[in-house]
Amino acid sequence: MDDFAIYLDGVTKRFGPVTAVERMDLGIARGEFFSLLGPSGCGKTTTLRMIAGFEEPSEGAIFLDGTDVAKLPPFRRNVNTVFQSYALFPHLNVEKNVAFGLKRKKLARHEIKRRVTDALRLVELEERRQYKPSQLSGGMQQRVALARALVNLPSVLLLDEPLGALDLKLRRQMQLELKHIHKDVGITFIYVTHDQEEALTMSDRIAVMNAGRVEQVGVPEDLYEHPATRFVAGFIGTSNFIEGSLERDGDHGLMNLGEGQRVLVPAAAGGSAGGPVELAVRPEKIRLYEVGQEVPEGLCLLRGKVRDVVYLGMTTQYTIEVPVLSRQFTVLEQNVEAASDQTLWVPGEETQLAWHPSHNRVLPAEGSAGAQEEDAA
Amino acid sequence: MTSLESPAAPPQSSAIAIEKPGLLSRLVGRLRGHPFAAANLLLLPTMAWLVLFLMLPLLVILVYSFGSRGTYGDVVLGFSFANYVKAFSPLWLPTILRSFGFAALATILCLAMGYPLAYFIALHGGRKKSVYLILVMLPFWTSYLIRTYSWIVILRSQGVVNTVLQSLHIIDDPLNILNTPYSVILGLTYGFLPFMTLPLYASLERLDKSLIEASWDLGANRFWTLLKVTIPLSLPGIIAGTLLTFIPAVGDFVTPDLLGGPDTQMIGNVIQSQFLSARDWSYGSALSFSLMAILLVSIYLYVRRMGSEDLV
Repeated sequence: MDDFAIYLDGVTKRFGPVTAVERMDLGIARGEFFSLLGPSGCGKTTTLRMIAGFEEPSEGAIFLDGTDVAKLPPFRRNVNTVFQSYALFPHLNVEKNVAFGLKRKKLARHEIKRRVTDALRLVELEERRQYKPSQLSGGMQQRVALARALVNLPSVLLLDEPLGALDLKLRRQMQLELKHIHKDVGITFIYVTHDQEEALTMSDRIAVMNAGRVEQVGVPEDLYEHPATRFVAGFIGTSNFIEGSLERDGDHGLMNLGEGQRVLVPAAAGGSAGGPVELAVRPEKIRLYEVGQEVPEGLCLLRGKVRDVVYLGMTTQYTIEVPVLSRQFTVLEQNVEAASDQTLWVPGEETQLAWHPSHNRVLPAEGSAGAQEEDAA
Repeated sequence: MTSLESPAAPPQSSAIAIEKPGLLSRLVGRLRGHPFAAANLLLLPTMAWLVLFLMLPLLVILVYSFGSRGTYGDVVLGFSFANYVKAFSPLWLPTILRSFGFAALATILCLAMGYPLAYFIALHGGRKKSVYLILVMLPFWTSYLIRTYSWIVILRSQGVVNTVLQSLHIIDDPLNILNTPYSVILGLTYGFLPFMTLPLYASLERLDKSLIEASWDLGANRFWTLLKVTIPLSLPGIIAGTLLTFIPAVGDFVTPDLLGGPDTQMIGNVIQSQFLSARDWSYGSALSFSLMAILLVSIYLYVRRMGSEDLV
């Protein structure tokens, strides 16, 4: 437990009859950029607020650098927060906002001045030290909030959707800037967001949350390539879901999709033989072949008919009807050639869908009937 | 896309109103062009009310204050500063100082009690907020006079306070509270507490709660958060509350009249007696205007000191 900057041990938070966070166990390593990702109401902000000390857990312990702080008030924890609304003090100028925490630590005046200057230099706002928050743009206010928290050199920095109010371009820029700052200061960052792209861009590791529970913890590639649950497969990126049952064939896993369709699945696939499972395949892993065209040996193969074509610039997204499974597939093809030179598929055309069995992900069934789940963000 | 353009009448159609005869429609038609015309029209009743019942009476009093008392208590108009010279004579200095002192003490007591009350309702009131607010305003449902009278029942020698304390053997002889400065300050505090609480509530209610959390987050405990964040940010409410309490308290005459004694006379009592007993309306008017002038100067200095020039 001492290896972790933060360790949540069976943390539960109930608001009256509602359970916001349920028995959460989570360890976050020192210096890590860790994201809590999930749709609104999944408990990610409540988790952050419990670490900050604004909410007391109903059950469980929160270890900060090895000591349980679950019952300590926020002003006695060595963590600092960057609030979603920035929460800059409107009656204080930039300099005094940043110095607020240091003054409570009773540091010498020149020491406070030096550290405030350093922090403002880090966020490139030295020139604005005399400005009131209301005189700054959203992006600048955001950076003041960051400087105000970082200047205290906390064990852990908590960020509650700090880029939510910024426009897309500024967001992208701030994402990279945050990443650089994280590398510079070496402090543990815990970042709450509902934006999967943001989480994938910045995080060392991500915990995907849903309905008060952690669905999966992992590095970004792992979450995308090896989702553990249907929710993760649908929330991070898009997946085609097919229900079926799991069969075993010697060393291989075999999944029965019904209608005599069987596909090979990785041997390590979860679920017991005969049990209901769901198959998830990423749209970009599927290749389209013309009918009659030779398809390499060993690929999963389905016949279908093109329903919709959406040209997205970098890629083209096809919706393909597969009659034998009576569902639609989403397929994403790279536009390697210029659109005019390339023969795009047209609606109504017959086609073959093929993908390598190693891209099959078998997930415990959740009993949802949807053929595919769009990115919930 | 052009079909989406609004077929509604363009602004020129107001010209039709001008064509029609009739004073009102002509007036309205003329005002249409001005962006603030409608707002000005709505202000008319208020303006009329203020001019008729505030500006005119004030003007009458101003004119009276330069006159003098006739033989039978009537007002002889004139132009002399004699009343003002009398008003600022050292004779009333103790009374004026006492009025300001009582009012200031009552205001401080109101602030000391009203701030925690308003803070509690605004930040911890939850769903019962409106119930608490009604409780704060409940005393207003009874006349101020009756409420002040009831304090006599509570405070007198055989009153509630003394009876209880004596029966508990905490005191032997009844405390002499009524008709002292204590009872007057108590009465003023009681009477004006809602005037302090409501503006404080309004400004604390508006306070962004995440600022308090931010302060805690940065290591400031509850005391420092109150001192460095909550109080500075509720300053507009504090200024409004103290003014709404202090100004009427300085000029109050009912409370010192009912709860006070010979040594608790306030300037309001003096003005009242000039108008009613001495029947010297001119002198009473001059005293009123002098009080107003002193108040205006002190408010100006106070608000400037509190650093909120936009209130002046």
